[in-house]
Amino acid sequence: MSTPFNPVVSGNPNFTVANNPFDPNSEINTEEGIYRSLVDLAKESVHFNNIDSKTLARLREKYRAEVEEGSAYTMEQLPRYKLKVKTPAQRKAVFPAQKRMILDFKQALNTPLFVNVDSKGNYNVMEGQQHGTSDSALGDPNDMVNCIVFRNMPDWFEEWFFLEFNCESRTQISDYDRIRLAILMERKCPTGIDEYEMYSEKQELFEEYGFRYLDERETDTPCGVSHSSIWVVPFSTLKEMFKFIGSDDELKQDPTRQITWGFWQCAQEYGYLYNENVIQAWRDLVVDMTGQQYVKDELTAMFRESGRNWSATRGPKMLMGLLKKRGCKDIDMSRICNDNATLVAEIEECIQYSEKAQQYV
Amino acid sequence: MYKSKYLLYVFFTGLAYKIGLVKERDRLGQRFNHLYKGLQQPNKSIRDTVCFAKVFEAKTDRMVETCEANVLAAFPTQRIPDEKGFLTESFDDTVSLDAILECINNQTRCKFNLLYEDYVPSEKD
Repeated sequence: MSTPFNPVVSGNPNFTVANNPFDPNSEINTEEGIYRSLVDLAKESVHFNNIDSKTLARLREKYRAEVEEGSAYTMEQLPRYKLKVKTPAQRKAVFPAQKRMILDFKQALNTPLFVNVDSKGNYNVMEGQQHGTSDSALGDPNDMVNCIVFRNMPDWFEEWFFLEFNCESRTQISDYDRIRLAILMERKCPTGIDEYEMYSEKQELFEEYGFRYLDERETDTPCGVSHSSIWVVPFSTLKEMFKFIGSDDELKQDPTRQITWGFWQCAQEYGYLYNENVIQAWRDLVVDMTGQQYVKDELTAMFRESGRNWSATRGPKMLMGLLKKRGCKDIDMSRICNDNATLVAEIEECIQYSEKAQQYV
Repeated sequence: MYKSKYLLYVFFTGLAYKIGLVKERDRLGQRFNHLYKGLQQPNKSIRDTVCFAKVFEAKTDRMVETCEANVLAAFPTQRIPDEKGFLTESFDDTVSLDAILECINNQTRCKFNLLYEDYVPSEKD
């Protein structure tokens, strides 16, 4: 039993103040002599407040004064399609929450976009802004975007510029951190938009139960989450899931994958979220599958044995079917399959004719 | 006792150990001959010193796969690289059988049953 002197460590104990870029005392902020938190920096940032035309004019003067010749850049309105788009691999990183949050956030603040024109004439959106404001995937390509355009600059200009002026793009600051920054800033300037508030509440859950959203695809970090669909999981489901996994000594050693919250969402949808027998049975099955990171592989192999492909909706139902077969009597497969007899039979067939599934039954 | 199709083996080359898995139980003998040929020993008498030090069956195939991956990951610096520099499943002679077995035992999620010990399949297999 835990005591105040021996508290249970929830989630990954490695996710501490030491690697939290938003703590002014954390290593990431102190090692480079950066002693102020990002929020503090953001408060001082010219981008923090709504920029009206008068402020913009003042800023323009300020930037001009900082450049010797006074004409290093021009203020232009460019159509979005003219901006260099990201590669498909980069675009993958734009997940829904980020899309909504950063796009709306920056547009609401009317932050101009910094653009560097390279020797080939490409309008490169400068480092640190790529995800939110410029990509043609995020808006009408014919939108006119406010830009501060630099031409004929040296190769190192982009990096230097943002290291100097943009607190977001400091070394080690990831998309995840940028989202947190946006959320924390939103908290300071509430918009009254429920969606923002909901994201911030979910974000707090990550912190509370020792989880982190990481940039890497399919991370192996314990309690690390890297799939964007976690942001659309209902708050109550997320809370129960984090609470359970974060306090389970076995499960908190695993990275958390999509099939995990897929199952928990399914459990909530059909009324098993607070059913300890079902959740415990799921836990035992996951441990038998040697960890959350292998559950999808195992289910995929089972589907293939009966000539089917992986499906994100059928996967959790298949898990429910397996739990039922393993002796969890609380589960009603008709309810799970919305009284669809064909689907019930399909899952039954998958389990019956899959050698792999039979190993777990 | 357990019903996995896969088997996990620890192969002794006469000098060092190698870990691996077979996806069908019937192919264990075939795998032995393959591993033996891979040693490229000129003298056939060495076959007597080569063996499967341990062969395990598991509760599920996934446990065999996970255990093999975890044991390999536990000895990153003691694995022998191939010609292209990629690490193989062979350990150098500093890794003892006890160390490998301890690592296997540490995989608490993987339920194993010892099937053979110092096992040498017949040449016909």
